[in-house]
Amino acid sequence: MNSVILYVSVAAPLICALLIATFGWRLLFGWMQVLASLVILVSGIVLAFGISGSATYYLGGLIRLDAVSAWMLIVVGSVSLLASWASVGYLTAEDEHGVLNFSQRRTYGSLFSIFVTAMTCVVIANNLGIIWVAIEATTISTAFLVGIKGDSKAIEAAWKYVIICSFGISLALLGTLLIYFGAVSVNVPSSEALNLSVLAHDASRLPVPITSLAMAAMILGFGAKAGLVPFHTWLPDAHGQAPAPVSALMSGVLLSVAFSVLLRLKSISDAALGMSFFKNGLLILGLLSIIVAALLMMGQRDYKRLLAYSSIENMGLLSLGATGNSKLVVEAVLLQILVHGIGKAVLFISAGQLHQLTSSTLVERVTGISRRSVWLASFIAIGMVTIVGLPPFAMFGTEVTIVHSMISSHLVIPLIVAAIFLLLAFGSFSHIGVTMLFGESPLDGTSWVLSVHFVLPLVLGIGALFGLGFFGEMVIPFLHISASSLVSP
Amino acid sequence: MSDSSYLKLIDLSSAGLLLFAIFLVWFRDLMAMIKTLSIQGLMLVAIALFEGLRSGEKSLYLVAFLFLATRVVAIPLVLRQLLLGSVNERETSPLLNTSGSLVAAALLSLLAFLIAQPLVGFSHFGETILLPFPLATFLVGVLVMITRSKALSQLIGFLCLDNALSGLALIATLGVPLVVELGISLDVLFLVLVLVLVIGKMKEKILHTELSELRELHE
Repeated sequence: MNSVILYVSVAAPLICALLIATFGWRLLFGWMQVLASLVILVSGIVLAFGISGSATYYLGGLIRLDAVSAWMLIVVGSVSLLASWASVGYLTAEDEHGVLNFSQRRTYGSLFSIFVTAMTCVVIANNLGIIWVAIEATTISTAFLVGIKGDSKAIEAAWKYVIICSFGISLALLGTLLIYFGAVSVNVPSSEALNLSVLAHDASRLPVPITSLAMAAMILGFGAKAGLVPFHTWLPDAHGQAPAPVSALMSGVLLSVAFSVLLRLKSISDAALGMSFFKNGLLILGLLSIIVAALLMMGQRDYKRLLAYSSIENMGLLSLGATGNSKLVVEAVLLQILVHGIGKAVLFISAGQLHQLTSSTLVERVTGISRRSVWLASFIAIGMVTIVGLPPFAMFGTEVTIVHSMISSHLVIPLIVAAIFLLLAFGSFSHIGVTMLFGESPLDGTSWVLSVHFVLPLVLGIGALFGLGFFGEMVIPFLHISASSLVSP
Repeated sequence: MSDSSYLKLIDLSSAGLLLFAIFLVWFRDLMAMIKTLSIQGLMLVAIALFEGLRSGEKSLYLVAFLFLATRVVAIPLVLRQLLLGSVNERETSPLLNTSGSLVAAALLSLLAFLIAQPLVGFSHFGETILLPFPLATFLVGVLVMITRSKALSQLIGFLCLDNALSGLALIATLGVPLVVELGISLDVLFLVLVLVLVIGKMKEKILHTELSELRELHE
């Protein structure tokens, strides 16, 4: 039964992609995309309820179902639910303004669903080769989504996005091939030597020189797709140019889907190379990401790029959290993945609405939002409060847990450095936020009418944020099971 | 043919991978670079074929055919479309001149031999002693990507690096499982199609493909 649910959650977005590619984008298909995302979300929840602890494998070990994959299905499902709903609004509005023609809407619709399918495959796959192929498929499917506007900026962003991500991901392939080589050389059967579960089981036998080279390549490679330094440069360009619902999906789930692969690899690395190897890698990349993001957020003039840098900062923070090896901190990391995903989706969808109303992504052109639309201002304010980690939202708790974990593992100096730059980022983010919401308005004060297809997903997202803030402890027992499979004994 | 003569042929083809990568560093003419890439792909086909003959592993013939179809025929054909209509398009302003790049390529090859030292001798499988060749090819591919300024030559550098990875898989472990190999090849093919379309748009909208001139998006 569980295997059927897993297959359905992959098939649902795939069917949407095929329908839209064949018949072109129609409103009905737009709603089917929303339904497909709901199917993924519900599958994740149903599977989560049935999970006891140990993982089950399907298709000869290629697919794994455990608490982590169920949780990541929930993340993919909930963010893509908001993003696909906003896509309905985006595509109807662009159709009315005549910005995107029929074939552009067909491209958008079908690639959007392929993107979701590929991410679903990543989170349920157990085979490192399949994971690699699916992650590369996310790059290929989103290339045209980044460049869909077709002007020179969008094309530049698409080029940078694809070439940097592909280079990063080819480092991950190098790592994948090396670890396969290492496993085969200690007599792991070649048909299973790429399966994460098999690698984890035989980790202590893996030859150290090959495994360390492989892990280093994979931290950098999958880290590129997770938005970590040094291959983070695609992110602001791509997020700035892509349509808002696509940015929401990239920032909210794509980064954390790639990050979840790193979480899986960590337990293998810990068993094969000792606890410090992967931890140090994550610590260095995480700190650098926070520093770079905080510096580039200062004085940022483009609000979509600001959100992109804030995502880099968040991934840096998650990496610092993942250096810890207690169940508690892994639970916090997993919860933060979901809360950040929904919070970023809310902000990107609001940014998309703002862009459609003002045709500008510059902060100075959109100041004084609260005087034009109280609703939009509230959505943005709530999203921002969530993302900077203030109560009552759940990221407050998760960030406190990460800090606590760093102190208890004696990482005080990295923590101080991180704290300084996080404060800097907090300052820039809130300053720009306040300017946008309450600053002097450059235009006349006519109030804005928001599109219902933007407002409803935003209300839903904000409901989820409050829900997770107040009743977040209800998911903790489940996160506890997830964390057990990621923490080394 | 005997086992040892197959081994010699595999030796020769793996060295060919690196040799043609170094030709890529040398050439500035984009058409010549595409042809070199295609010949490098042929080396990959040869490795797969000879490994198949030597080990009797039937799936390697399929892999050889897959490489022939994608790396030797389809991808170079798609790349050529970009040069249609423009005569003798050349790399104009690389970051490093030819002799500088050749020295860098030599140093990178040396580095690859150093990196590969601890890896050689782990496996009873394949010819691990040849591992430095694909690793050096990988690094040289990175060099081409970093130092060239035309979009197409960067893409060619990326494909060289990709050939190196496929070579690495064949030499170290007789290739990854067929389903993964198929996925990788398809991904690479689609990626090339996407990037060629992007370069085409670049020519149309930005009127050039000099990457150093792409400066609209920055901080």
